[in-house]
Amino acid sequence: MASSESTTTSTTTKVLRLKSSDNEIFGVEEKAALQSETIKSLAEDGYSEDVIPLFNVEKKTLAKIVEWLNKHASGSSKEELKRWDADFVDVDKDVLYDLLLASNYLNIEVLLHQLAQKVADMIKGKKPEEIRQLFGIKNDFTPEEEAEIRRENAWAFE
Amino acid sequence: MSDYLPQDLVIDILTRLPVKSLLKLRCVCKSWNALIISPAFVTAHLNRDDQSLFFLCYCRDAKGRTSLYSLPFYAEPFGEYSKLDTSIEMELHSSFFVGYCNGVFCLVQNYYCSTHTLILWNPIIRKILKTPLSGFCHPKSQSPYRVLFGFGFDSLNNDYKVVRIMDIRKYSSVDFWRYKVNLKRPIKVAVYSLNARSWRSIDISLGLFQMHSDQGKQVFIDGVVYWLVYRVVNGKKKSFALSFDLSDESFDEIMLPECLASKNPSISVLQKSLALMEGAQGCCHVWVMKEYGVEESWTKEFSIDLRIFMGWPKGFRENGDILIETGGNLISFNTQSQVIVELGKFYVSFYADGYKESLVLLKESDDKRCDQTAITFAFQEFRFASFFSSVVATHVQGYGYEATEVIRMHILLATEVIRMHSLLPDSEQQIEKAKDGSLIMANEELVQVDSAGEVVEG
Repeated sequence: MASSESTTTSTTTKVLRLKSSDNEIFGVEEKAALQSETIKSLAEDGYSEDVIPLFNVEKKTLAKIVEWLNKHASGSSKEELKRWDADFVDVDKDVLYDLLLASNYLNIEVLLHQLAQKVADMIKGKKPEEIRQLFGIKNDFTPEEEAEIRRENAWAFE
Repeated sequence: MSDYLPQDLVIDILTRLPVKSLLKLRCVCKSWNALIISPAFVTAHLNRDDQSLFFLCYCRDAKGRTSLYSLPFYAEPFGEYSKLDTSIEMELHSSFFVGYCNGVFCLVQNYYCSTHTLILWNPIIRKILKTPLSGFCHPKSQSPYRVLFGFGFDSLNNDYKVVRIMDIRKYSSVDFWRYKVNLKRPIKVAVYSLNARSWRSIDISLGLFQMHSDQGKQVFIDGVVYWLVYRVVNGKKKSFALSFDLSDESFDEIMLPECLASKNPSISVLQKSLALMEGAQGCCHVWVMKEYGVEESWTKEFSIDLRIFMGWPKGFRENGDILIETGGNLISFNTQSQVIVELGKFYVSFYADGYKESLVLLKESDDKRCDQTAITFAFQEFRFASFFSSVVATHVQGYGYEATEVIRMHILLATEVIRMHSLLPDSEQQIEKAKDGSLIMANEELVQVDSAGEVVEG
């Protein structure tokens, strides 16, 4: 779809219809939707006239994603986008993970980068116990093994 | 790994974290620990270009203490700086600085003594790896051979390597035995690989050259190490850059611009290109090789009038600004805008460059592999001592003193290795056994020839 970029200001803006896993349909301008590599390749495969099914994304998450896609296709200034993005990723852990998984599935690189950076910022300065909780990880070290690793990098815990 | 996120996302997130956070995260669970210390992760973490850069100074203060400082790269002036890992200040003081790459420093300790140690040091994770080095001093006079060291990253093999070029023309008769010197090829090349944890000599025919008196300065760019050396051609000094590709382990020679060949420029890096600084009468000319290996592409980039600074450039910043140390002050000078920024009170003795925090060396420890190398090494030294004494005993008369000196040196070296690894009862026993055997042999042989009474001491 080499022509996809040229629809920026044309009067007949093409709208793609995206269907969430729980069957909600979102109409998104083509230019905004094609920021997702996954949607782009689905559209190229001929789904563009019809509804594009996104089996891995629920409607509450897809609504957020669509919001992001629209904002990033709106021609906002760099500074404004930066502020808007900061607010956008300022959500609780579960929403953040859903967005992360969705943007990974939809292959939206810029958004994926922002979300991964947000999670990384959340990790910084947290204790290992808190990290386990944050990621749903079971500690499979024996107390001795854990103590050994802590001892090795004791100064990092200061 | 995580109940909530797939592994590739977790990896993506973790590579964005600073080193100190990652060290703490090692004790989250086994799979995270394995991930963080894996070479693939270490490289992925290093390749994140949005990592914060630091600016690093390798300094010797007024009292002669050597330290490394890291300073935030973009802050001007450097309001705050922190001393990196102070645990090896003693080693720094007695070490020769070889080079820096990917967060790791390469040093050679006791450069001018008969036992040397190669040190790889990652200050941010406080990891120091020491490896004994077989001697590159003249066995009798203890004066060093001319040696060039290079250090860098071989991206093809994901390995860190140290290369040593040793010119052993200053040999004595005993060296013929030790190194089997071939007079036509007196330049010996050896490469240390961190992956293999060992030295290996490379059989390479390298044209003879001379090392400049400020020998040793190397630069590392994109997998290749460079030094400046010279030859005397028709009675005229002709400088050139000697390069060593760490991946295919091959040498090359790069000619300098004609007008610099007879001079003694210093080698540097300017925005990832090979650069030369050459000065006369308070003026410093900076040349850059625009295209790798193409002699015609040497371009005089700019000249700086140094008379106002009363100092010599120490290096360049990423943006091309020149760093000059003047009377204990470090300044950054932009040649285009002519703007001078004072960075702070810093007596930079050797080194100033960009620096990146990295996890390189994290999984390395003085593990079994290393001990095995050390044991083999000690064995070799003892064996040599015993072999040498038998050679002396049977073939060479009148080398009594020199021979015992050589034997003494090798036993010293082996003992040093044992001392460094003395925590391992097994290896200690093995070495003790070898040592006893060799010493008895060495002593027996020597007693026969050495009428001067120089007996080897353990």
